[in-house]
Amino acid sequence: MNCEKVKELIITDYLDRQVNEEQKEQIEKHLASCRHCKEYELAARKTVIDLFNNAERLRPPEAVWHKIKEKIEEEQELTSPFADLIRRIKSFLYVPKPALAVATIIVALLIMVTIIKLPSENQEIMKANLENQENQIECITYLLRVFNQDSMNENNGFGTSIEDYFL
Amino acid sequence: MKDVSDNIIIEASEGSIESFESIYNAYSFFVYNVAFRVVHNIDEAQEVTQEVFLTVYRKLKSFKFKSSFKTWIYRITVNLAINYAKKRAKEQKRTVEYDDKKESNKAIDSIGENIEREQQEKVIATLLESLNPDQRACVVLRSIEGLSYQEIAESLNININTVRSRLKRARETLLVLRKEMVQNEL
Repeated sequence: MNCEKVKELIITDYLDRQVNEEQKEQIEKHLASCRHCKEYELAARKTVIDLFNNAERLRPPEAVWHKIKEKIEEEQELTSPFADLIRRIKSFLYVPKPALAVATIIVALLIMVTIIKLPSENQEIMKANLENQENQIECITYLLRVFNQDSMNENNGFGTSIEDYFL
Repeated sequence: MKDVSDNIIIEASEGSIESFESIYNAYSFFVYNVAFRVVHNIDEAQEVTQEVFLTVYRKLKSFKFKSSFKTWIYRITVNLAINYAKKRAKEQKRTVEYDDKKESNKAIDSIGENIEREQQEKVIATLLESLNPDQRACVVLRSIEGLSYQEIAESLNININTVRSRLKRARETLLVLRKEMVQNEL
């Protein structure tokens, strides 16, 4: 067994105790006579085996289990027969979101149009009322004028003392 | 690592939280430690651990007792951790938060031992960081978790010779880097 093959086995199967007895014997025989490979074996053992063997093992925090449990319970609720019934009812009453959005926009537009439209309508009503009032005044003025003219034309009078007094 | 009985697995698959907690108690150390060593970050290790157990819970009903439950969990863990590490490797490099957030299950050591342990953990973290996620997973499963080559092959769904070659390349990288680190320390 040459140095290259020995090193390859050292860094994998030999250090990981995956070699058979025969291979193990051959490698150890080589190591006993090859200082370079022996140094390689010691360095490799120290770095890739001993260092990691002493690696600290960490305890998962309690919160991890609580979060997992919480999620599982949520999922169980979602898959329970009662939840299934609620889902069916919801799907029966389901209104697709785009339709809901369109409906909301239409209602909002109607409200806006009504709000904007009302003041203009009021203005028109007031305008009409004003016109009516003006017409009425004109009518009354006309009637008064006619009445006055008639009165003037009929200046003959009745020749009474009361008439004289007032005129 | 203690194993769980088939009954526990069946009960958990039927929705028993208590039985699922037994599964969690049996495997959470392994899952969390593999996740931490592969993703190299405490918060992400917690996320991976949660994801692993939620995946296990969701897939429990489809678990056929043809293969080992332990290997099945190993596979889910390693796959999720490697995917997470690969995804994160594309993003900016993160610092190891070991110093701030570690929760050791061991008794409080003396100050001297603590310093030595922390230095050792930094060396391990630096060495593991130099490997790609696939190589890192092999080293963690073999050198920290003590899985056999066969178990690693089954967990990663690869050939046993691929396990051997990944370990060889990874360890050669580690030896070179460690030598450089020692020379820099001197």
